[in-house]
Amino acid sequence: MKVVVCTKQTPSTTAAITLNNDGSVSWEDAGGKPNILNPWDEYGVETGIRLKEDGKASDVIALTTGAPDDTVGLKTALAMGCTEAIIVADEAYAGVDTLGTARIMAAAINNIGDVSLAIFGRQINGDMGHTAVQTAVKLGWTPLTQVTAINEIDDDRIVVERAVDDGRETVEAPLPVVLSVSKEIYEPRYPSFMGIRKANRVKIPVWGNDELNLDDAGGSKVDWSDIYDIPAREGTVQMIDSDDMADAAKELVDSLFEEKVI
Amino acid sequence: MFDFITEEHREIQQLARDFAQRSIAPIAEAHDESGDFPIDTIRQMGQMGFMGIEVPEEYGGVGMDTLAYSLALTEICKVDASHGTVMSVNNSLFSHGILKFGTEEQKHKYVTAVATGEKLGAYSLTEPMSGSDAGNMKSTAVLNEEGTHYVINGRKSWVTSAPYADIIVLFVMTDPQAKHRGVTAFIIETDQPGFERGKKEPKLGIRASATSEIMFENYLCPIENRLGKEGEGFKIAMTVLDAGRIGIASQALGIADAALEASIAYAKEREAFGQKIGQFQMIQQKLADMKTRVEASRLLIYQACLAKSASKKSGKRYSLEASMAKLYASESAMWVTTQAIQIHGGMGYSKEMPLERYFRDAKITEIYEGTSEIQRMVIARSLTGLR
Repeated sequence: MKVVVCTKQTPSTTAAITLNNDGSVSWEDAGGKPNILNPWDEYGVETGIRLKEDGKASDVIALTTGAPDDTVGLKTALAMGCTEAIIVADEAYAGVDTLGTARIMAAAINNIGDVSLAIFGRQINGDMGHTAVQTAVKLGWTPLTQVTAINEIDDDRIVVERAVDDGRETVEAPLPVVLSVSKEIYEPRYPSFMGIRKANRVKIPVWGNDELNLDDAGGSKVDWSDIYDIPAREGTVQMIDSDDMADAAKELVDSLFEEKVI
Repeated sequence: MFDFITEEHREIQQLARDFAQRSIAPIAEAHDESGDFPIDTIRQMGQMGFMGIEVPEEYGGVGMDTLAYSLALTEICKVDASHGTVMSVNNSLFSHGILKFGTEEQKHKYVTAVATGEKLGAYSLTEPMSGSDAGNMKSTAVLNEEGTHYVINGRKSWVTSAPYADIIVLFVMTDPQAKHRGVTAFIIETDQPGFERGKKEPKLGIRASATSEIMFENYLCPIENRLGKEGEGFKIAMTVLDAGRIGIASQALGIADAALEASIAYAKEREAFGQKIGQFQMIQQKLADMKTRVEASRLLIYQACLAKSASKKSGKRYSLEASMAKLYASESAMWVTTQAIQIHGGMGYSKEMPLERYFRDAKITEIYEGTSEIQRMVIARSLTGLR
């Protein structure tokens, strides 16, 4: 069974993000690691690797789209245990929105061929969380979102547990399906040193329009009209100065009432 | 500037840093306090390849060089020196000895188990009455009449990871009259009768790297588990210690680095007499000297790593470089952590901050795997050729 894990390279969670005067965004990381595998995707990668370790999956292929050298996330996925990685990079696909990403992912999955399962993390693009479902629609596959556990899987079907409001539900679907997994599914492993060495030996193929035959990926219907820094929160400290602790406590309680804290 | 540090070295270093900060930092203080061995994170490190960085891939290791090992170990020790001690023992003292002097079967059976994280290794040379003076040890191994097993008796002390170790590289006397030429090395499986773990040693620093005595009473060690020839033990122990010293130097560097970083941050933040304490010249002098010693340690370690890599082709020993790195880095760590506490004042003395832990942990680096006095002796002998 072939499993594809859809991933994205993102700024490091420890990176300092700067909004430049021209509206562009740049980032730097003091630890020397400006980009990482999208932390949500680590859960998807872990899910794929577990399926391989359990003897269910034969191949676990990490897939991403971006610039040709946006391979940091893919190398992490390989170092964790994915068996292959592919990056889709083509000028024609620059600046796509989530639907465009879904078109690219679906075309790449079709190009890989014979895939039974595509796994996403909870969210992959712009914090929107709908690329997985859009990819499923483009593929014509069943989307199963917010998956917290894979209870059963064989060549034809999958039974998963999904997080729903106030509880969990168990659902069954015929393969192929697209999953988006939640943080509860597994604790992602660290890559291993051996994994890093193996990942460095893997030549990651770069696919473009020649392989995918998408005229274009549809660009972006979403317009990022304004990006601005969150205004700094203003806070003031009020010191209650009193020799009598009982008076000070009363004053504290009164002010907390006044501020509607209690 | 340092083009011998490759992209792959950086990746190894980065992963070690991530792991240390995400998984070790949250537990370091509690394990230091309790002295409990952090078996979960140590096992995790084993699975990630931390215990066999220089071990060739055919024996389950990562197959990198000493520099990769040193960079990773420094990152671990920057967060917790106790984890670093266990890592150092498994990589250099345990694996290096078997790889260099062991049979093919010993390498496959024992090095692979440790390098892949399946088992935990240890190294045992010191006895209650002998440390650097290894020729004076009292534990013995006597070949039985059938010639199939050595019968081992005695008591060893200060064995790192002993409470959990599965396999131990052990040094005992097969010919006590011959002093250090009578020492022989063995590979011991701890699940066999006649082996017992003794009391855990309460200690000043690296408290989580459980250290204890081990006892042998008529322990039967199969002859195929003798490491090297009879009487070759002292040579094996000394050769292995050359490699180990680069590890201890890296450990010292990690501790000093952590103390320095904390001091810089504190000097920029803490105010006294209306200004940042980093604006006072006396604090500036401390920081400047700390940084200089840290970087000088790093360069001596790089030199030792390169000398060790070169020795693989030339066969030339690198004792001088390893001893200089260990001597300077360990004494610098002690000095830097002392200054760091002084900069932090009362906060540095408090257990609420890790400075006092760095200070306690630094001390051992001047003692184990050859005291500073032994390092000076090695260096001087190497310079003069006089003994």
